[in-house]
Amino acid sequence: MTDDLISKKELLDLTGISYGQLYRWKRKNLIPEEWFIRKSSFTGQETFFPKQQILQRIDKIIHMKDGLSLDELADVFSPTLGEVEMSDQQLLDRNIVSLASLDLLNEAGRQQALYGLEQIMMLYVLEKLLLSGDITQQEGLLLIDVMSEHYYRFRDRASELLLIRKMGVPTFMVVNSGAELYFDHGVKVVLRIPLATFMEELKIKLG
Amino acid sequence: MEERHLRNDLNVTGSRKTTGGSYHRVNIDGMAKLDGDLDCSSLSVNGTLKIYGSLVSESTTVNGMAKVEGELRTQSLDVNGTLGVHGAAQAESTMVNGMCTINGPLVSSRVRVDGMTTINGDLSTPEFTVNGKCNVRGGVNGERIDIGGMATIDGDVQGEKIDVQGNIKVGGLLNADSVEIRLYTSSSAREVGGERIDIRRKERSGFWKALGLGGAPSFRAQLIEGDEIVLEDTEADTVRGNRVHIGRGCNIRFVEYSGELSVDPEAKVGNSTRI
Repeated sequence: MTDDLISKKELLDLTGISYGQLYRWKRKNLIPEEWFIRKSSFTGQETFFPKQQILQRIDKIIHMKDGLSLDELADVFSPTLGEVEMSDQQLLDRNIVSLASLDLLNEAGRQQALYGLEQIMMLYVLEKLLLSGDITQQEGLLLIDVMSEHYYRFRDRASELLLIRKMGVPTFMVVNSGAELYFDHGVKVVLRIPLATFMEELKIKLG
Repeated sequence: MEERHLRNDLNVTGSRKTTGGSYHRVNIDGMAKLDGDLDCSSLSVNGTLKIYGSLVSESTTVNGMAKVEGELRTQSLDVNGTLGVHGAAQAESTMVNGMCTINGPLVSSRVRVDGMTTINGDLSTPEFTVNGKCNVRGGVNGERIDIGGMATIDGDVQGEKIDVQGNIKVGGLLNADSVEIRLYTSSSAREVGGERIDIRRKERSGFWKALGLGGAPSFRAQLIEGDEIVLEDTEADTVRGNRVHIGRGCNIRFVEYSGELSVDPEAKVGNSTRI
């Protein structure tokens, strides 16, 4: 996570945005506070950003800012959950989840008449990971379990989803964004993805 | 909830201790202590009032002294005397000519401080005007910020347009599209960032100069970053920008610019590079 940083100077150079834009976006919470990493260098204080995340984010902002106001954009990027309720039929109709994911949810015994944004988010993550082939159906059940039980704790904080395997036994975790984790040798980190990216996609789909 | 105008009025002219409750108009000309929450359509305090609870009112005017041990929620808040609020406060419009202390965050659509105000929390208001003195222990989240008096803010300040004709001290980042500061006294911020940053000396008239109040006009910051920067009498570690003018009286250790840089002969610049 901490490996690839980009300085503010390089960032402006690379993306062609101005200081004014960067500060405006920071003000509007389009760029989260924790991405601003201060370090002292030989030229004084410098600010660095996690390279991949910031470049992706700026790309998105630039492409979306014509259609949406900055405040609407801020909504899309905020980790906070809004108020939504949907039935499984609505979710299917809007192509947010497929029948396969819903079946898996039934198998886990967690089906409901109406799903709130937290559960829709869980289903969406499940759907995406199953589709990409990153996880198996069995692991999907674990994912449903961990996200139903614990995702609410990160209601307004950025979080990451982790899948590790040891000796072929999978484990899911939801952790604070940017948390440092160390494992013993037998552990393989299969997946580590910020949940915020799913949330952004989902909010665009819902919006 | 019953209509507020159907309720009784509460008038206190002598000294009275009572429980709170719901009233229409509340007038305190004497001394009153309320042992609970007060909900009313208008509150006017000319004497002394202490509420051991929260206050919900459409209009609140304090000409005497009032203390609220809980939270405050009102449409219009006028303080000409002294008001102390122990909890958070919410007001559509806030005008302080006297003294106001809020021990929690304040959320308001308009805040004007001509007297003295201390907020021991964050202040969030689109329009923030200070002609008196204002201390904020948290950050300020605004749109138009006008400081004619003195403002000390421990956290970050953010807005669209910040105009300072007085004295400002910011413990964190001062972030706005346009930052315009006219220096009368010594102001400072840890960092300044925005599109247009314009910090210049204002010649003081004889009276203020003779008084020598607040020190020589100067601005201090660790870092100033913007697209267009004009500085005078500024001491900074690093200045980064596109078009940068370093005017008289400046002392800048390091300047980085991408467009053009001009330096006044009466300014000191340690190092400058074009990137």
